[in-house]
Amino acid sequence: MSVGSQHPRVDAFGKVTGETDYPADLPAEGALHGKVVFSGQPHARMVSIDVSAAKADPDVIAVFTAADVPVNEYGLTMYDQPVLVGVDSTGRADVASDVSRWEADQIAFVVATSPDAAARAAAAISVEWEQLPIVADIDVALGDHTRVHPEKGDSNTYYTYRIRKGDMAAGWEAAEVIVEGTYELPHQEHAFLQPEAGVGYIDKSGRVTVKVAGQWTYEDQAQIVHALDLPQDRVRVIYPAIGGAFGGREDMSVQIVLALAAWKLGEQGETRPIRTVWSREESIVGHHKRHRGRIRAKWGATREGRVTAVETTAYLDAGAYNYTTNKVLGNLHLSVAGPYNLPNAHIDSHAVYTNSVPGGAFRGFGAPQGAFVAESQMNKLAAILGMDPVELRLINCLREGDPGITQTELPPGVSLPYVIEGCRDRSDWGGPATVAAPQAFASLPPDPNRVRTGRGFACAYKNVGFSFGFPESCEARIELRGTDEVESVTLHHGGADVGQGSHTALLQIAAEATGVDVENIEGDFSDTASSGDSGSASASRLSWMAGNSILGAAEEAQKSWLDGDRPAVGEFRFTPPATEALDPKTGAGQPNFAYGYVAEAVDVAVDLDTGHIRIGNVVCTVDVGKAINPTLVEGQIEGAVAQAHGYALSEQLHVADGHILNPRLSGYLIPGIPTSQITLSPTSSNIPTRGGLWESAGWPKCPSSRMYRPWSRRFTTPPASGSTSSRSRRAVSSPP
Amino acid sequence: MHEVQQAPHRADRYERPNDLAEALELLAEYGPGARILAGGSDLLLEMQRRVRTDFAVLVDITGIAGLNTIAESDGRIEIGPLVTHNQAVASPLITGGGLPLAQACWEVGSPQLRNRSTIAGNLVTASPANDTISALWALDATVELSSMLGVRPVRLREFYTGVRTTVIEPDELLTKISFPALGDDSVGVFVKLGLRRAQAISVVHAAMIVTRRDDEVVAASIALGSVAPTIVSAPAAEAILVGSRLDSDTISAAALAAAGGVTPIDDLRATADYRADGVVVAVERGLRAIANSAARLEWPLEPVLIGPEGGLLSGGGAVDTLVPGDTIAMRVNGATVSGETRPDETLLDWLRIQGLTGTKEGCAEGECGACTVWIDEAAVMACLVAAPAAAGSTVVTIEGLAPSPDDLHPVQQAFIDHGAVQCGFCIPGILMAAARLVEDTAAPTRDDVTLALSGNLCRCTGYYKIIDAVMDAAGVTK
Repeated sequence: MSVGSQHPRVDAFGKVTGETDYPADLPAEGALHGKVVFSGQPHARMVSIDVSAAKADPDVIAVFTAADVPVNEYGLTMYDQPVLVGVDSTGRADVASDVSRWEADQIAFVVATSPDAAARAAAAISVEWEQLPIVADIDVALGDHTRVHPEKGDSNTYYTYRIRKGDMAAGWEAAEVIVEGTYELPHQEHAFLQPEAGVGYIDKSGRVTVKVAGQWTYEDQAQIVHALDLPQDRVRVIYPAIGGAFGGREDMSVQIVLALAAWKLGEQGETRPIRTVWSREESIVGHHKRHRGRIRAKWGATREGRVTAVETTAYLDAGAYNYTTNKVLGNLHLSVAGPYNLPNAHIDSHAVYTNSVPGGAFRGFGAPQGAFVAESQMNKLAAILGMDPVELRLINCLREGDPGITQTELPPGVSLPYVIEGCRDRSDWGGPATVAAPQAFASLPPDPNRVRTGRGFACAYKNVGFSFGFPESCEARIELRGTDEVESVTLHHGGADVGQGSHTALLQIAAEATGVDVENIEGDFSDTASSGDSGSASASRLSWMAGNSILGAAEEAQKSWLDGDRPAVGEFRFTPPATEALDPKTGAGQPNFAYGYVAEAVDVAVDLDTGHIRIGNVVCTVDVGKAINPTLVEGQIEGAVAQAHGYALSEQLHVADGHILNPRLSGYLIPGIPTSQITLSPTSSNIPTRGGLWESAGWPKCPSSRMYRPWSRRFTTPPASGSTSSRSRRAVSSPP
Repeated sequence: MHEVQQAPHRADRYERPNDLAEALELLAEYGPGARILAGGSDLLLEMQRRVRTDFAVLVDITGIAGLNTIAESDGRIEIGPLVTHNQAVASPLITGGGLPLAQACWEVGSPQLRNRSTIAGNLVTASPANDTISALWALDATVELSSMLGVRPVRLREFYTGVRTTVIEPDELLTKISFPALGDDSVGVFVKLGLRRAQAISVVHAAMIVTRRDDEVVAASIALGSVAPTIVSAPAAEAILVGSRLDSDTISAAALAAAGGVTPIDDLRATADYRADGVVVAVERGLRAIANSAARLEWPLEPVLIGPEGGLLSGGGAVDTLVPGDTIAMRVNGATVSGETRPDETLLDWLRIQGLTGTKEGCAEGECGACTVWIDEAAVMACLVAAPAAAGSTVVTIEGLAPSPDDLHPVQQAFIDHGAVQCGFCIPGILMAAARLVEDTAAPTRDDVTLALSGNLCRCTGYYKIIDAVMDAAGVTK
């Protein structure tokens, strides 16, 4: 049996020996060097641009500007961003291209014979800007008359979801206690270890080709095709090894400009490939973030702990462009009231344009922000009611057959109660916390008199797949070779392995479906020239979608085999159960075909004088469905937990007036090697639609739920860093 | 163009004198147009970020014999300008007679950085957050400044003139650091408040030394960092301590007095109020540790260095003078590799241009460890080493870690077996640090593993399987 085995990753050998090529490792020899030039302007209108000095440099091959882009617009879910901001656009795009709406709007792509020459030429580009008022954040966006996208109407608020469920008056009437809070959610930076990079060239078949790290080859291809106005079959996208993604590679970075340069220079007879590599600073400035937001919540409940009314208003800072904000907002909208059976709810969720860094996909896709609010509210309720927080969750949690927040029955397999109970039992919930004192000063033993310990609990759910009626599918192609028996197999698949191990898992599924060992299956992945459209490596969807596409392709191939074809080829496009857009007035509908469920208990200790927090034992209970490869699943959960530690405790992106102030790993602190222990208790529901390798494990990690007990103070704004979120240590450690 | 896209400052000449006289001649000749390259970690970053742009010549002093020693003479401990942080950590002289300095060195950056960067460099960079300054300030160190005109001693407390500025003249080289070894009646400790356990920049730090006779404090010295434009003393606190018996009330009063004399600022790491409060906690807990004989309790018996002797800066001596386009050579993975370079090219860039792309760039500032390689068996960050300074050295990269393709290094095999690899981008650097630990340490503990890998970032795995894999590999090696 291949499925369910702990097969070693098929790409591990190359990665431990240094052989594996990532985009920045591609051709060093004989390549030209491209430099993307950012505007540096959060909000300004370009009056003029002069590239003549840059072009005069003998080491410069070309300088591309807006005039060179046939259709100067792009965007994953809506075309609202110019490829290159400039004054001399072709006029074939709907987006005004002469305005920089974000400090990392791209204004030129310089190609030169060396990185130094490209940097020199970038500095020689002279631009005259007319400054526009900066819409710095949500407050300014809601109050100011300045519009980030004036062509989109009279408001910076451009996308809204509503839920009108039950009878709010009755809900408040029934409520005996009310808890309220306003939560400020911060940005989070992906900090994948491999900064953006890529290579553009013309392949042997004359196709404009980009090798780059992304999450969906066909979507990258589609956006290049749109902007360059080329036929689809003239553009090819290939993913080599991808150095982490976490949602941060869903949107475009260097793809379109590399294709543009390869195409235009190719037409002039240039045969050298063009490479470009972003620095860490360019990466942090130049790609989207987990959305910051402000969410106000007011919940009512009975003395017995039954939640009777939920009223919530959420704002997400979309930044300058939509990216996937409308979809992230939808997911936040579904999760902001928690995984609870709520009779009455009134929820408004808004996306707001600003001149800040765009918000977009990041592990959990809006669910972490929603879970933070919902679980913080739950903990407040537990405190005010004097109830056990786990018991309170079990009273309210969604169960099989319950209607969800969108007034339709949840898809079958609502394992939340079992996940909560499992986490409660595995964590010895009533017992003492298992955590050593934080060592605020490495050279000194901790002061036991100044340490408090405690434990927190949270649970969450998240969709699998694209949601809201978005049409999705996944294609696979399988070739069987041999004479009497199948001896070897080739799997062609577009699914991106961003580090999660999907290629290993997909080969295991192909092995299972064809009866051949994994070692005898050749994987041909992530090349639009040879693999079909898989959809994205996101939304916890890939293992399930791709797995089903492979099962279908294997079945087709076996039919062909029985017909005597050699090789026998099977192609299949898998389509999941349909989903629906929500009713714009009431939010009613069936937005998803499956959800994943998770609960987590965390032990923490805090140094009352310094605010240093140490995480002790973490118990993470996830319904993973059928684990294709348990080791890979564990790896996803462990990684998600660590990222959530960072989100909750240390990662603080400083953004002011449209500028990121700490675009370095020395200033933006992601977790280093931990001293905490983790206990995983993945439960297998064997529900086939449960989906993927795994983005969910980190969502419940709310500082408030963890720190309520030890610190007697809830945080409404992660990260819970005492050093900057409070005026002094006394404020940090004072009771509420 | 965005400000993060500025082209780095470049030097157009690299000089590597063979003795002190030659070095001083070069400094006299170039004056402010030259900068001294020792470990290079601060200097390369300052060039990358255009913090300093007023020079064109790098004078690499690692070819000068005798500058990397730690010795004791007439009751004073003397430290050469090429002594690395890890060399100090490994030195019984310093841990015995200058514990606060050893503790400060131990908290600088990461193991890879400590193997390469020098105490003298930390002093000359002159950031008020630099840890070793406070320790040496409290120890009342003296630095020796040499030029062709002669040698002058300067008390460290008179060395600084402001944020990142000192009294050192352009033609002067810091040639020695010395301080009186602490006697049996003196106890010192260094304490640092950062935002994480490793790779932390001080939010507040303090070094304090108390001398007692018959339980009575006869002298006290307290230095505070990150709370003023330079390191500062805490005279009011010192005055409270002298004459006392270091009782609890005195300690509390001294800690409050220390905070009363500082002028911290708000910045991205912390608020001024947090810093002022941090001084109280740091001084209070440090003095309590002294009073309770706990100052040495957390000092590791066998510090994890991941490099022999803490990364002796000696250099291979392969190049005397170099201009852009000149060729350097070094032994890489058992073979001689040569290629063009320029004075300030990093070893990371140079290796990658030679086709050794297994060594990765994740940050180019010594934070992520993805570029970890071995120079003469010491794990270092290749992004903070000048390639010309590594000429003539023996370098091992990830491509050379396995004895053969069929015979992986135990840590490589363990990473495959444990599923410790996800996206894999950080893995070459982590393996180079882990392999050094496994080869240098007979039976590493989990704490040793976390220390050895404290300079490496991974965003995928959460590190749990990585720790398991290294422990497993250590077992295989034993």
